[in-house]
Amino acid sequence: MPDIAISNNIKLLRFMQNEMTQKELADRVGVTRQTIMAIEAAKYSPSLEVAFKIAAVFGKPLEDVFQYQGS
Amino acid sequence: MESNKLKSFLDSLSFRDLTLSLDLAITLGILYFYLSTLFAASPDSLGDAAFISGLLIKVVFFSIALSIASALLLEFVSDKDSEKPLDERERQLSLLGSKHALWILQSGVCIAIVSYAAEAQGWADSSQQTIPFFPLHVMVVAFCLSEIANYAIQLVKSRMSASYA
Repeated sequence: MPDIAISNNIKLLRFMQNEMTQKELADRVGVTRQTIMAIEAAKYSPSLEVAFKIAAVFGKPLEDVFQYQGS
Repeated sequence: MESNKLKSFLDSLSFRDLTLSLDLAITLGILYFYLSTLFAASPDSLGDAAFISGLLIKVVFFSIALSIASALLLEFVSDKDSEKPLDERERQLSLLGSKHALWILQSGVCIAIVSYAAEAQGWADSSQQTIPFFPLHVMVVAFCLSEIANYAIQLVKSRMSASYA
């Protein structure tokens, strides 16, 4: 169950990008694989910089990758 | 089923987790060595400055030797991970661990100061036997506990919690 109000489509987007591994994404973004795991599991909200970098890796706008679920 | 859980657990371990786990084990071992030596010592030894300073030198020596050994071990098992800086999530966890460690260290120093003042001013009940070098022991134990808290909080928070506040 996600713990925070920001959900994401990173897992799906990785799958669509030739099944990119978490390690590959982590290396391209400049964080550890465990941080990517935590973001995917909605256990950690990344900084704006990391969020934009992740979106840039997938070539998508930020809102296609992250969605705010709060009221 | 169990092997899958073990595999996913090992898979989730980062180099940072490994480093913290080793540091935690080393600090726990050193604290155990220090306390077990103190509890096993005779009352005469506890009041002997040479015995206490010898014990502290051993503690420092073991700390340095074990830290070097763990650093070498981690260098062998890491894939250049030891050269990478902490990322933003790891920095947050490190700050959180340091914050709690500082509270414990400050508490230890305050207790040591109060107990030293009580001893020096004769506030303590004279019928009670005081432990020689008590403020020193409090500070050493507080230092070890603060390090243990630092490592343990980082390890626990990194895999269990969404909030790093």
